[in-house]
Amino acid sequence: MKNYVLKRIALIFITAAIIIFLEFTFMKMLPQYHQAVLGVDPETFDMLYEREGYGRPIIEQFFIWIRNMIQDGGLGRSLKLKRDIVLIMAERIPVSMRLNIFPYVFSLPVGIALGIWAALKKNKVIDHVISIGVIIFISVPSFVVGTMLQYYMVYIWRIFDTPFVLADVDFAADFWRGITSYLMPMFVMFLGEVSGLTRVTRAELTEVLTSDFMLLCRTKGLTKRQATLRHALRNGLVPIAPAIIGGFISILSGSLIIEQVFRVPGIGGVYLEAFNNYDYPLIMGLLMFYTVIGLFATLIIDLSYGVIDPRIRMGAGKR
Amino acid sequence: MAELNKEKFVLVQQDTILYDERIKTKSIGYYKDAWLRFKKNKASVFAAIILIFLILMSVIGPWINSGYELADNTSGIKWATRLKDMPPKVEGLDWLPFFSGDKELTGYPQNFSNLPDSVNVRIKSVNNIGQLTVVVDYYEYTRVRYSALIDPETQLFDPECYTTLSIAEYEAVKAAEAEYGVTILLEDAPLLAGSYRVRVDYYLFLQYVYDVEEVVFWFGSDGQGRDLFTILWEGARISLMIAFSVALINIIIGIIVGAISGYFGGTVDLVIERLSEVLSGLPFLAILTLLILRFGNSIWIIIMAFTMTGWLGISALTRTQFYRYKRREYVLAARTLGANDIRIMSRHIFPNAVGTLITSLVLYIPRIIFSESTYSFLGIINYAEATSVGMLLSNGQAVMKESFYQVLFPALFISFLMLSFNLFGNGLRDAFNPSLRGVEE
Repeated sequence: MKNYVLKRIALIFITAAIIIFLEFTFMKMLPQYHQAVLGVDPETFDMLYEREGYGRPIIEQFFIWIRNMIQDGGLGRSLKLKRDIVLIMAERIPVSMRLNIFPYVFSLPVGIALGIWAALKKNKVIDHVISIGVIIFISVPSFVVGTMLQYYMVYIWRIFDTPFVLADVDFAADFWRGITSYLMPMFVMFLGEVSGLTRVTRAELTEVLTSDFMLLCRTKGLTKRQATLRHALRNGLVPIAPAIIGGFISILSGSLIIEQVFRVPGIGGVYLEAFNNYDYPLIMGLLMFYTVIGLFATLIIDLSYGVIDPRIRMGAGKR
Repeated sequence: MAELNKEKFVLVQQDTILYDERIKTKSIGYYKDAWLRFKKNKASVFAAIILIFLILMSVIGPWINSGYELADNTSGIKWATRLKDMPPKVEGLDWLPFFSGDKELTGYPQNFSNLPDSVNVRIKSVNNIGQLTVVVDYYEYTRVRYSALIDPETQLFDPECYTTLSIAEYEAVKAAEAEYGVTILLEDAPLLAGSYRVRVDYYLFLQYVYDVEEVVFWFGSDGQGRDLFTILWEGARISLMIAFSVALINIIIGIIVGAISGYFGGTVDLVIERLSEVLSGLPFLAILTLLILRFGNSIWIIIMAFTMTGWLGISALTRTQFYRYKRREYVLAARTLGANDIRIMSRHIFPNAVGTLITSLVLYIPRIIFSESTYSFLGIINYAEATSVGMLLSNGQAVMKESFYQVLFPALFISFLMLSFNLFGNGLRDAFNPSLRGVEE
C-alpha cells in the first residue's frame, strides 16, 4: 500500500509538470501575450524581458518561470487587478469554500437517504416521485434553476430583496440579510448535489439488493432491516464513497456557474474576469490551480478506492 | 397377452419426407429486441417525440416567423432598436395574459395621463412615492410613443415622436403614400442637412418602407429588437449542430483509438494509456479558454476544444471491451480461418461491444449540450455567427425584472431539450443494456 501511494504521488507530480508545461507553452504562444505582459514602458520591458528569459527556447523559459516562482514565492502579478496573484487567490478561495461547504455537507445525508429510500421501495409510488425529481434536477441546468429562483423569490414573491449575494460591506451592516442572501445559491447547489447523489445511491443499492448474497442474508435469518443496513448498504456505498471524498477537494475550486448567476466574489468569478480582461498571468495562475486541484481530487479518489475496497488495492501495479 | 408379429409393425410416415418445421414467428435480433423494449417505455417514447419536435423546429423554426428581418438589415438596424424588449404577442392567443402583448411600466401619473384612448392602460398599484405601476398594451404604446405622444409639460409632441429619415426613405414614404393611398406622414418637414425630421406612423412606415408586414413578436423581442422566436431557434440549431458533430467525431476517434490499443496491446497500448493519462488531467476549461484566446470564437474552434480530450473516455471504454473479447475462442477461430486484424476487429469484436458502448454513450450528447450552454451562459463561448441559447439566457437574466419572457423561453427550451434527451437516453440505455436483455421486471 505504501509503495502504491508513493508511486501514485510521484506520477501525479510528473503529470502535473507536463500539463502545466503544455498550458505554459500555449499561453506563451498567444499572439497578444508579449505585448500585454511586457507593456510599453522601455525600462520595465527590458527588465521583464531579461527576467522572464524571452527570446530563449520555450523549455528554458519554463524553467526560468519555475525558478522565479520559487525565488519570489508567488505566481506573479495580475495585469488588471495590479496585485499579487497568490494574494488574490488567498482572498477569493475562502469565499468559494464558504459557499460550497454547506451544500456539500447537507446534501450527503439527504442524497444518500433519498437514494436508499427509493431503492428499498423500487417501482412503488415513492420511488417514482423521487426518480422524477432526480431526472428533473439533473436535466435542468443549474443556471436555469438559479435564474428562476431569483425571479420568483425576489421579484414575484418578494421573499428576498436582492437576487445576488451581498458584498462584505453590506454584510457587516446587516448580518442577517447577508446570511439570507447566501441561501439561494446554496439551495441551488444543494439541489444539484442531492439529485446526483440520490441517483448513484439508488442505482448501486438496487444492484446490491438483487444480488445473491442478499438472499443468503435473509435465509440465514437476518431481518430485512439488518440485511439492508449491515450488508447491502456497506457494499452499495463502496463505489460512492471515493467520489464523495473527491468532492471534498472540489469545494476549493468553486462553481463558475453559481458564482456568475449570484455574483459571488469567489474564485470562479475571478477566472471569468481574467478571461474577459485578457489578464494572462492571472489566467495562467488559475489554470495551474485548477489543474492541481483536479489531479489531486483524482489521486484522492483512486487512493480511497484502495482503502475502502481491498480488492482494488490487491490488483494495483500488476498489469 | 396379445400376439405380436412382425406384420403389425409398420413404419409411420414411411412415404413422406420430413423437414424441419418452418419457424412461424419472426426471429428477434438484438436491435429488434431493443426496439421492442424501447417501445414499452412510454416516457422515453414521449421524450423522443418532443426531441424530434425540438430538432425539427431548430431546422425550420427561423423561417416560420420571418416576416421581420429588420435587425439583420444594415439600414434597418437603427429602426429595430426602437422595437427592443417588446413583450410576446400571438394573435389568437391574446386571451392569455402572457401572450397579449401587455407590459408593466412604472412611472409618475403624468407619463400615462397623456396617452390617447387607443392605448389600453390599467393601473395595477401605486407605490409610496406616487409612482404608478400600470399594464399597457405595449405594441400600441410603442406606436404612439414614436408617432404622436404629447409631452405633458410643454403640450408639444415628444422629441421621440420625430423620426430622422434619409432622402431615400423619405422618397419611399412619399411613393407608398401615392401608390396605396395611406397616410404615413403625420407631420411634414423640409429637407435639412441631408435628412428629413418628420413625424410618421411608425408601424406603417416600417410596413411600407421595410416590408415588415406586421409588428408581432411571438416570443417577444430582445434588447436589440431582434425577434426572440427566430434567434432562439437559430441558437438552438448551433447548439445541436455542435453537440452532434462533437459526439460523432469523439465517438469515431474514441472507438478507433480504443480498438487499436485494446486489440494490439503491448507497447501501443502502453503509449496510448500514458498519453490519455496526461491528457485527461488537462482541465476542459483550460483547453477551451486557451483555444478561444488564440483562435477566436468560431464554431470550428469550439468543436475542436470539445474533441481535444473528449474522446478519452470513449476510447477507455472501447479498449476494455476489446480487451475482453480478443482472447475468446471465436476470435481465434476467425483468425485460423484467415481473417485479418481489421476484419476481426470490425466484424467479430466490435458488434459484441456495441451494446455496452451504446449503453454508456446515449447520454453523451446531452452532456455536450449541457456544457456548451453552460460555457456560453458564462460568456466564454460567444459565437460570431449566432446567439446561442446560453447567451440568450444570460442576456435575459440582466433584464428579467422587466422582461421575464427573455429568460423564460430560452430556459424552457434548454430544460425541455435536456429533459427529453435524458429521458430518451435512459430508455435507450435500458433497451440496449445487454445485461437487462430478456429479463422482465
